[in-house]
Amino acid sequence: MNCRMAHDLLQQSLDGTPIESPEWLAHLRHCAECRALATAGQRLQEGLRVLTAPVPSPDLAEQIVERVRLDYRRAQRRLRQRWAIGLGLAAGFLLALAGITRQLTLSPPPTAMANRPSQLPKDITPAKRQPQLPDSAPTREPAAELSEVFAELSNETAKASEGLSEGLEPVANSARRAVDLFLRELPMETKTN
Amino acid sequence: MNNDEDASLVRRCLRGDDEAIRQLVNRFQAEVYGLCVRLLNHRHDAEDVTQEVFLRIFRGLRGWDSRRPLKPWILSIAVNRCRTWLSQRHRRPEAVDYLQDTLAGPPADDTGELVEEIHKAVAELRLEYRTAFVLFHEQGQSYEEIAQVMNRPVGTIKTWLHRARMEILERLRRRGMVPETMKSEPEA
Repeated sequence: MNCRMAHDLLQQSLDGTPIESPEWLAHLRHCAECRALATAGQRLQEGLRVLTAPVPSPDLAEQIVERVRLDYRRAQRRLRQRWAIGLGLAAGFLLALAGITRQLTLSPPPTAMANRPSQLPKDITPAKRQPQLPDSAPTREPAAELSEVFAELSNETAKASEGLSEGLEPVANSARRAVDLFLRELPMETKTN
Repeated sequence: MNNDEDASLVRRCLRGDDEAIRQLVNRFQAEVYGLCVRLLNHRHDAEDVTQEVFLRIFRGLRGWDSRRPLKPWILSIAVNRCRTWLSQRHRRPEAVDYLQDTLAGPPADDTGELVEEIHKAVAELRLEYRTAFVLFHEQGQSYEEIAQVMNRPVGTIKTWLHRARMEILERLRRRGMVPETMKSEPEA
């Protein structure tokens, strides 16, 4: 057995495996270096046997529990704030949507379009381009009809928009109430036992 | 406590159960604190770091893989925290602390001195060796568990632990803690 193998066996011995190798003992008898290391290994094991683990102060556990509780409370508060911000943004979006819808209902119907020849359908010719006929009343009829159709469409859109804004109003109100509730900064009381 | 019980305890902690939090702290605080004392060589720092370790444990409980044992996961957080603390301590005033561990039994002959020499030798090891040594000899972790805690292959852990032991043995010899051995017999 050489010194390298003797060192390996010493490591095994320090791992906790009892070594009963005659070759090892024979090597230790004639190798002073390995014998000294093996003796030091025995001393180390003796020392480790009587070594006790460091004992924490008695109130350390309580301090840790308190800090953990405090940390939990902070985390919960942060979570509530994030919810409040999210709800606020959602409510703002809904309010903006409702506002835009309302604006659309208040805007005048596009009746002027009838007077803009360039935007009329091709099959509808403006009256002034028509050859002058003795009776001009029938030539005005298509434009008037189109104007009526636009007016009717506008009224329908207005009614639908009003309905939509009325429908969204309770949603917006409840979102506003939810935001108020979350922003009210109530002190968080958690269980102490 | 087996893995199922650990998982149940962790679930209760995640629900904010105070009793479960206390139970988990009481179960692991001695091991975490012991490891921190050995790695930092400073009791006051070790208490501070132990508190930080538990904060991180509770913040990260959702990330614990319940198929794995809880203890190595907790010890790995402690090791990482100590490493960070030590890297920051270089910029702080030198911490001086004399460990005053009590002996398990009544001191016989030079046992007290031997224990002190072992402490000093462990304190002088480089951090990786020291961590492997403390986890094996004081925390009773296996090579595989230490590999998991330190996130290194088992072979590396074995090398570190063997070198740590050799350095300690050499110090014990230098400091006269090893009785003189008889002269070598001539090889047959």
